[in-house]
Amino acid sequence: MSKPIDEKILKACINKDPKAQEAFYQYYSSSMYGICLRYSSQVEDAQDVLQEGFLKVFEKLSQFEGKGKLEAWLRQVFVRTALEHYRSNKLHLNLTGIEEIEEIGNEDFSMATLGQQEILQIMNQMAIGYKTILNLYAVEGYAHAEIAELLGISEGTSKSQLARARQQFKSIWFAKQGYKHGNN
Amino acid sequence: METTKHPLDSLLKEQLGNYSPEVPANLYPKIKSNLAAQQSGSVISKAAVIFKNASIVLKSSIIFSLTVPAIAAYFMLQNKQVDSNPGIVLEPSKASISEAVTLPEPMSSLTPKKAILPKIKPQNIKKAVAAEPVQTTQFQAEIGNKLESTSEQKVVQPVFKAQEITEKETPIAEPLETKSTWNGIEQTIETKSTEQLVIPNAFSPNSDGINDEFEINLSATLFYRLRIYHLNGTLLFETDKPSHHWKGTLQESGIQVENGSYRYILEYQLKEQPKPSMAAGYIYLNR
Repeated sequence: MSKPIDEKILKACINKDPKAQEAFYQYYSSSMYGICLRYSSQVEDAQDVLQEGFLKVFEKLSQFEGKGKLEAWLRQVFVRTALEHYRSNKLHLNLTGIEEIEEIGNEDFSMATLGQQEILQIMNQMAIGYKTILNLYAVEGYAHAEIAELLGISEGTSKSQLARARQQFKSIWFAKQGYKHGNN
Repeated sequence: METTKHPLDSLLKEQLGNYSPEVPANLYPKIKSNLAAQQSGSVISKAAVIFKNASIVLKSSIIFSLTVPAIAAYFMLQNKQVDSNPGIVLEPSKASISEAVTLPEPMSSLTPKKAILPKIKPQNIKKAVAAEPVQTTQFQAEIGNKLESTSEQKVVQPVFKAQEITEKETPIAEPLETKSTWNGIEQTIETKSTEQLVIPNAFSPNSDGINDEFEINLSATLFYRLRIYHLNGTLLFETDKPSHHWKGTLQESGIQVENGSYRYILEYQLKEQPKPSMAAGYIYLNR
């Protein structure tokens, strides 16, 4: 992780100094935009979330008080903002109840060949609910209990959705492989 | 269920944990204007906080010492953005900010401050006007009784008319209800006999200027969502803007999909409709 922003800038941001706020934005916008994009199905949504998130951050920065890492706090704010945005814009989460999930064996896959761009392309083709779960669990490292609370679902649903999400990821990846090496 | 680390999870964490794409340069001005609006509202509370503080002088000196280099950084950034591809700005910008903060340079004059103030003022005026549409219409009505039409009235009138239309919104025709099932889910589709929703069943996104986009003739909608699915159920494209047409590519990555049929599901609500409607079907893509 990059080193935290200069404390002077942080203090000036708490005092709502416009120039410090802009410097703060320039410093963190790129990594926060990454989060926004990962949780959105459209670029426009991600940009809305980015703006919403920074307004929230500047408003609540004085409450942060140096508890824990600033970047971790920022990431949390942006993830929550993205989820809120998503909830208010989507009709339904498309999450089904607990069912028996058959895990595909992992040993067959050598996924180390997948690069960042390829992964992002696959994620963008996934159903938004699955993408969200996979992001929360795998990338952000939230526990099922936290995910359940964030999304307003049960822990069991979170687990089964995660398994389905992984399956969908793999099937899209395989489909892409087939397309690449197919007769086209 | 097990809690062992799945190989896919590790891969995603590794590849996406620090995902930091380029941010479009046009995003900050919007945030800035919103911040300016917020701040002007909280000036009084902010002043109170500062007076409570014993170290006013110290704080303001910090702010001042920060403002100058920050302004310098701001202008350096702007110059860079003009010169080069805005996408490449991010990495250099981090460096230039930290340099500018640690080594204050007196090279920038105070002129940038002038550039900031006018930006804030028009914002406030716009907010004030937008927040009190009722007052302006009342004012217009009073004048209307006494005077002939003036140029001022002409400006206000559209606002008043728009309000009248929204109040008159009532369903006129009886909706025709039909039920359809798809994937076992029962959907009620309401169609208005007066409404003419035309959804094409084929398009050819080959950039010849003819029928290149999957275009649905809806504009005045309260709610709109179009989703395009691959026949295997994968979501390929999703939008909530009627003006945003599908061009036969995967969203974001822009990769062209193959010729063939794709499933679309359109959810929309027209202004005169009391409930959202849904339409679904297949679109044939042939380049």
